[in-house]
Amino acid sequence: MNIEHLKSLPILYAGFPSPADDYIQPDLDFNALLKPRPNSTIPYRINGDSMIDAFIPHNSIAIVDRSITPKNNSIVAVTLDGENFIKHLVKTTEGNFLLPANKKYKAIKLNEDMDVKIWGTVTHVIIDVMNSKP
Amino acid sequence: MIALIDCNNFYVSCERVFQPELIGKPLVVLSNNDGCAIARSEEAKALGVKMGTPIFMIKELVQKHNIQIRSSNYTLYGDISKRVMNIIKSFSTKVEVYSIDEIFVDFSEFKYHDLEALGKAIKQSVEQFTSIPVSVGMAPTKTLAKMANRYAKKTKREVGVHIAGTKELITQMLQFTEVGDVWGIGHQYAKMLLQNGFKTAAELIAAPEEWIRKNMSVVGQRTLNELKGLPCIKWEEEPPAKKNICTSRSFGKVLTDKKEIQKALAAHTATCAAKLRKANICARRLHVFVQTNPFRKDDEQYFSDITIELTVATSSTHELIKFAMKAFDKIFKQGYNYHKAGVMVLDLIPASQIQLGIFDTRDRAKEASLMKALDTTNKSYGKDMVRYGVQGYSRDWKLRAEYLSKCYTTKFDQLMILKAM
Repeated sequence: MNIEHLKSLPILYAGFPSPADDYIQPDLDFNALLKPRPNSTIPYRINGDSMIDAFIPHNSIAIVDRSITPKNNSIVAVTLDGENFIKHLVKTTEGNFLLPANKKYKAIKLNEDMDVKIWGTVTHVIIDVMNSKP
Repeated sequence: MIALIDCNNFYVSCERVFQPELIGKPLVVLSNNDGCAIARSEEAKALGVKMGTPIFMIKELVQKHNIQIRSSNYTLYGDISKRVMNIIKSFSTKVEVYSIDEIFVDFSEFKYHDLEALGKAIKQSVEQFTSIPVSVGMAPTKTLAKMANRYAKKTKREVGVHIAGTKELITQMLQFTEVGDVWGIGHQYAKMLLQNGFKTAAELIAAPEEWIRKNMSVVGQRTLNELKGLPCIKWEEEPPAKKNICTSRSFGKVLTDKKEIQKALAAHTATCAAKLRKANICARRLHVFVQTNPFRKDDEQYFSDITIELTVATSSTHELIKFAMKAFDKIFKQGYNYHKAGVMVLDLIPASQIQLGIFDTRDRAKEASLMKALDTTNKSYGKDMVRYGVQGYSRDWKLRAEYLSKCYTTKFDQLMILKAM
């Protein structure tokens, strides 16, 4: 919960100045942590359990940065036949694959005929632990 | 060299970023209140949907070809525009954001750069980071840069970049462009030029001095000089100081009840007040208007407005709403089908220059603190989360937006979904 608005009300000081005054640092900035390049970063909602072995459960939020060129072994956002997915990209000498992180799902081998576009790299995942079902 | 970079079919492109099923399909984005087509995809253009067509007039065409419709989602468009502009600004600091989807960039310091490569790099960056396709036109003046941008769209859309850097290339562009398609030459002016035998921009710049002096206005001559390669249009790096702030909307449906219209006016006043505070200015005059719909021929017509002077300039929501309601009392008449209402604040001065009246008894310091708390809270929780009672909560006056897409970049409960399947 953002309590910034409370800070704008006048504060009454009484007694001694705090010894901590000289050591105050700025608050932890979660925006800077999760979006160091805000112009190319957008959060997405994960729907489904194909990535649970990569610690990305259903209903979590994946932060995707489009300015990072998708590399081997990264978790990526990809459009396949007009639908958007989250997958594990693996590049091998046998070819490039989009893998799930859950034994229930199948791997996809990429080839030229496919309508596929890998457009972003997942940098962080936000999981609401208190409200997640195990 | 100056570049004009703009987004191709911006609103349509924004919708397609988060709804990939719309790619390749005919798509139309509607104006406020779901009225007219203000953006069309290439497929919709090919089906004959013209800019500004009221949607009710093309119902059959929409059904026959399954044309997709979206209401304008300015929250989304504004957010994506900010990203596009920021990405372009990383290439050069001397820029002028001209509209929500157009930006001029001054590359005159980039004398030894390969401008074509630079233009392509900018296009590639914007498209990779945001999915928004852009076109880049570069030339010695703003008017020619706009022309180069259009030339890129018309003759090499895939490449999307055109650098009119030599006399030959500029001439080629001038010969290609008709006078009516030159930036700064409106419909009526173009008609006059055609009547006088000028069909292309190339023919126009060859006009004799005598003729120009006799027949073209100052603005026309400025455009002409720009076409000849002489920069005449100023750079506006800072938007000019506001002369007035106006908020007005048509109602989603006709309103006859005074209380409902008051809610709308109070909301518009609150918006104006917040804008005043954000720009650190105050208003000395307040203008309120209300009107019926002149296109509803069966309705009795009524239009009234009033301007009141405020003894002390203010940006306080509380004060402005109080005066707006008083002003509205004077102009409201029972029995009409009202269609639109608005508030304008005028005579704006910096907040630091307010002169208090001798009869002024308001506790302005306390009010300033209250406004600061109001603005900070609404910034965190959303517009009008904290509002004045008279604004109300009903949506009777709000605009129709039946085909609105989600706020994919500004609401956690409306994020785009990535399937983990």
